[in-house]
Amino acid sequence: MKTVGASPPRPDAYKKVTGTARYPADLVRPDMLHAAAVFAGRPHARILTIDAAEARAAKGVRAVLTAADVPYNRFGLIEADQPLLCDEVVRFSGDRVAVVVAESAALARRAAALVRVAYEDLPIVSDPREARKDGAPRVHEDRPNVLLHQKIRRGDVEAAFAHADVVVEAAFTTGWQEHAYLQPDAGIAYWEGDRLVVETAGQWLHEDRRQIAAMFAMPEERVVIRYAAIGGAFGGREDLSLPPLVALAAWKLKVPVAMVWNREESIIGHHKRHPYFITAKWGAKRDGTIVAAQTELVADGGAYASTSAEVLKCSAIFAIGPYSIENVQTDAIVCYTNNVPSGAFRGFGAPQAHFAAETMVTRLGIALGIGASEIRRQNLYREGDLQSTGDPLPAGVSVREVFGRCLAEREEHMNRLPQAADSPLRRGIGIACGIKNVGYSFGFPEQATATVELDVGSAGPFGATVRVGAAEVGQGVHLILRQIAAETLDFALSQVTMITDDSSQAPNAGSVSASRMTLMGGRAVKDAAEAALRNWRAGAKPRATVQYRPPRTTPLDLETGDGVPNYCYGYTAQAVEVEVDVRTGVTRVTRVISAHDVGRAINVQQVEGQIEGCIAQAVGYALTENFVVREGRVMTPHFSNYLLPTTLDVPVDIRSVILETADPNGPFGARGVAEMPLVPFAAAVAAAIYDATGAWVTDLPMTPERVLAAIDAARSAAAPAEALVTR
Amino acid sequence: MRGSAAYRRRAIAATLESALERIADGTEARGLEIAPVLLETPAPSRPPKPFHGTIETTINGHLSRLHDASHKSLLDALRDEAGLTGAKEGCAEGECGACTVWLDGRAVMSCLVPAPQAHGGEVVTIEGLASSVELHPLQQAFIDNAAVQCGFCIPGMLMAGAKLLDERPDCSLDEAQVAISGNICRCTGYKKILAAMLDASEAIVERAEPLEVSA
Ligand code: FES
Ligand code: FES
Repeated sequence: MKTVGASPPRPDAYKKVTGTARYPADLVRPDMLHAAAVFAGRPHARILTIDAAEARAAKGVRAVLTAADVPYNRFGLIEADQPLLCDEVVRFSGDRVAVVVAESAALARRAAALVRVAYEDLPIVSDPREARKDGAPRVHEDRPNVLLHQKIRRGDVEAAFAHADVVVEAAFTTGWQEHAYLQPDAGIAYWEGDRLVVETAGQWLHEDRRQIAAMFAMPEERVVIRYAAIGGAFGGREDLSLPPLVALAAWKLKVPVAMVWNREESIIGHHKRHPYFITAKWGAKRDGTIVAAQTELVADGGAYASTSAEVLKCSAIFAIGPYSIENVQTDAIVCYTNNVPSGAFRGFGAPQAHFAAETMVTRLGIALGIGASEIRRQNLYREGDLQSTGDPLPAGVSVREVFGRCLAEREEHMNRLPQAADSPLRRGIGIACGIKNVGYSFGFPEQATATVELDVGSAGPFGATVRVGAAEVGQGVHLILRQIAAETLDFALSQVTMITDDSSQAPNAGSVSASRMTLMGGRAVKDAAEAALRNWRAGAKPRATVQYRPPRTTPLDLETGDGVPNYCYGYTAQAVEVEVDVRTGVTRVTRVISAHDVGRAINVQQVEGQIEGCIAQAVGYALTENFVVREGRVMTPHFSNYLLPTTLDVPVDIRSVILETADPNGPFGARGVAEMPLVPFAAAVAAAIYDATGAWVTDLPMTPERVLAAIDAARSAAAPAEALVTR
Repeated sequence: MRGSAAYRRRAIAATLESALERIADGTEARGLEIAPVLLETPAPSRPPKPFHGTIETTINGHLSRLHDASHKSLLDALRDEAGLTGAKEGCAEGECGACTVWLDGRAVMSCLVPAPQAHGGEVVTIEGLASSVELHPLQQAFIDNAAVQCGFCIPGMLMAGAKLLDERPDCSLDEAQVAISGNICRCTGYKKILAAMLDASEAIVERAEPLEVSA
């Protein structure tokens, strides 16, 4: 291997360090009009009238667009249940009712405030547990509030609990999480001949194109999506937020239009990670065998469907973590509410499920007196084990090796530090494991397409052009795909040209999500490169387009969970050290070991970058990022009240441990890694806090106040806290 | 201190108590930086320049006249009027650092600075960090250490980080962390950014030291 496995520098870094990389808001030109959105500002109301006369008459205003201007006023990734501009009802406070187009951004915003909308407020439902009940106010008149109830039924949990030696029960809650991609939503749109062009940031060129074309009743080929430099995504750009709004303005007015959201608009206007209410009951035998797991997960889907159903199905299969358990009963439920919509966010339902499952496993280990490590050693998945869906795990089940490496690294590098008896700072160490699918699940059509064309001279091929519609959201995928092409063709990186950011120039490789693009896009590029070489050797055109399709998955049976959920998994184990101030509850993560089977590290530096960056987000998810919504209103729409981890909150001592058990389908064996560190992290922090203080925190984020309350509760409990045996 | 009133009362009392204990032990100064990181280097003092609505300022070494910026933030003036889009808006409230530039030798969050403050002054943005022949050592170190992912925080990170290296070329890890503690990065986890800062520090110190000539 020449290129794969090395860490060449990123080709996009030069522009990014010199300030010349152009993000969507940097594309605004003086000749453009500017659009601003009118937000509902209330969680549930009927629109009586929209009076735009004053706004239309305001200085510099060119148009005020409303629902009547949208040919097909519905969109959505899975289900088109969201209006681009609300016509009859607003269902969350970030819903949009109008777009104002004016000569400057300031004039557009000013005029947006002059659009008078008369509302009749409707009863709201802001808690999914309430939304489930008969008689709860309906979020969508034409459909029930329960968006999905996925059941998994394996064996007989009641009988198993009756024979278990230890049964542990607990309840958990998890909060919303804001993606906080650093570049707020922005874009420009214009006509290029008879094609409508949108230059913006996203995660899937061709899906953005499909949805936008449908809204304007245009054939897909007449809509072109181009991605500028993208300032982060993390699942947050999977749903369309701003792009169709600016597209509407340009489509209608036939002039170039720019739209730039500020941070507050971005936070209220795009979806979040789902908050959950979880109850769990797990039982084990004295010998350490976990015999039964019963879990109910109720999630807040917010006002629109987004990817809620898929997220919840993932939670359903990960409700037992990476453990082989004979008797399983899972109910995963997601409801519409009048809160901000929930959707994709790095981890996609796995972090919430693991927070509960991994805590339950540790508590069982403690209750049995065998400790957190031993119970895992006994119950972790093995090659050939069945999942709770009745289907065997895809080949390459490496969680035992990953966990073993994590423990070995902990022995060597995470020694217990001496602790002064009178200090209010208590240190503790926690461990947790994780499993997360790579790629789409549950029968969702999965494919990636790439085209490779060789430049051939008298001495043979000397260069290649790779076309693959894969979004570079910061994760480094353009370099990864280029390395794969170079390796396959035996070229230097400089001999490979990438065309990736234009839906009319690059074929559909699917979204950058589900940690899938290295495996899927990489495999398509590799196969296309090999096919182009074959064609050249056979004397045909030295060019090939290949669509790669991985092994098939199927939908799950709603009542039993039977099915083939996934074709590939990534496996993770972590050890986390924390320091808790028992007087204030303030908790700091001080050291992290994060072990991952990535199949094959195409670029070690980039893999480490994914692990380190993901851990920073996981620190926020576990400890600092407290997204507050009250009665449908977002109380934390700014960085000053939604606290992102800074360099003082994220430990420098992050030890990335990379294992390489080849995936049978991945290019050079590669799987994916981007989401994995977020999966077990919060549970590992909770276990570390328990180790430090004897208190279990069961609510995310584990704010100082919650940690302190848990410490109080543990102290006042009659029984002395169990000692956590992690060795 | 965020949380309910009851929590805040208790946490403040606890913090106060530990502060008093430290004063009683005489250990209150322990752990405090002796010389705090300021992110500024002395700039030549400039005489006040009368202001008539047009901002005249030196940006990256060139004199610029910004006609329509007197009511704008320095960030908007740079982006909209001067056409320099390297500095980014991530929050517009001083929380993310993506807009960091240098004004008269000091690293500032330009979203919080009224543009007229730059009148008669000197601004350096990310576009002016490299010399005409080579990248600033910190820019090169960011590339070499893979400290760049989406890149949106990077202009601000570099302007804060490079100012630290001006202020104290031989910086420590702690100082590097403090220097960029006002800059949010949502992608990298900071580890490679800090590694790049220490690498650049080493490169700068080495370059400054006269080569030892062995006989
Ligand atoms: S944009 Fe200035 S600090 Fe965030
Ligand atoms: S590299 Fe994306 S925010 Fe720092």
